[in-house]
Amino acid sequence: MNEKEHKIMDVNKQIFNNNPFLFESVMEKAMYNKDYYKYSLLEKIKKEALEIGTGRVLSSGKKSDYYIDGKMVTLDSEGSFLTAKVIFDMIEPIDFDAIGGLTLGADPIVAALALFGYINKRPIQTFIVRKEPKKHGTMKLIEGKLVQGSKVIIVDDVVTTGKSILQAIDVVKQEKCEVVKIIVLVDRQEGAREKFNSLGYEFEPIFTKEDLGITNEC
Amino acid sequence: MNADISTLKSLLSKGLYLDNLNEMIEICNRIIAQVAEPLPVYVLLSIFYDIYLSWDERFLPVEEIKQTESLFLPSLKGIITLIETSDDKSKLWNALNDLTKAYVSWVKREM
Repeated sequence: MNEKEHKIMDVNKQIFNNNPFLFESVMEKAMYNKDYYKYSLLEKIKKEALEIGTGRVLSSGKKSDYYIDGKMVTLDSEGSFLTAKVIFDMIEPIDFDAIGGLTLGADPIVAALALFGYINKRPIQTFIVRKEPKKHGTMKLIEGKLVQGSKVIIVDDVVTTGKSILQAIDVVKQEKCEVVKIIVLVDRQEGAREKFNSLGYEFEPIFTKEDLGITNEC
Repeated sequence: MNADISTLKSLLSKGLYLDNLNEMIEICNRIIAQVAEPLPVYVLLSIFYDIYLSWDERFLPVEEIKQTESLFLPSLKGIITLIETSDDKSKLWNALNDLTKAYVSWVKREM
């Protein structure tokens, strides 16, 4: 959506708030407008998941002025629905067998998708990859049903360098699965896309840090 | 094992952060499988693991990392050197006790 369309959507939101009777009929039309859900999801991420603060450190050891706590959205009722709806629309044309990702970021997303898929008469097989820093050696790392040789989509809430997602991919590849797509809620644009592309994975973030209005970092 | 020990020392010199802790956990796992006396490495592994679990999925303030590093890094570096040289068991024992005391005080701070 461009800036003008965003403004129209803002006005629509205000109208909804002031005129609850309009809500139902407009929502009915909006059900067919994928952008409405995407826009609502973006607004929710900006409002509830984005933390601005200096002097913080990411898992890579790099300092950052902002943090995206994806779980503030994916564990919220509306956020869970919006996430599932937007991803469901993205994966509809894809030929795949299962969706999963690395705990903790992927957990609420795959749970929402499993439910959303069932309600929409397209059940989705989901799985979770344990994030185990190999303390206990070879233990079961995949929870849920993942048949060997499946075509899988990997999801996560936020990607920075892509390390966590590659960790999940390593595990599913041990099950001889083929990764057909990687989908994330927000790409922090710190090298993940380049890494995935160089390894031949198709990567589609729903939003980037630019969509959140973040342009500069410390 | 020597190569793993020197990698561990080099990683530790970069400080403590999640990706680094993850790598150090993997290295400790490898060393444990190779040494006759695995206890000191197991203590290191457990401490790395607990810090990892405490920091995972958080937007960590630099100050918290600095405090944790100042608490642990001197003992951790000392123990790794003692494991490498393995010349003085009583020194190693004392260093492990100091590290465990640091761990106890870190746990209290975390609670």
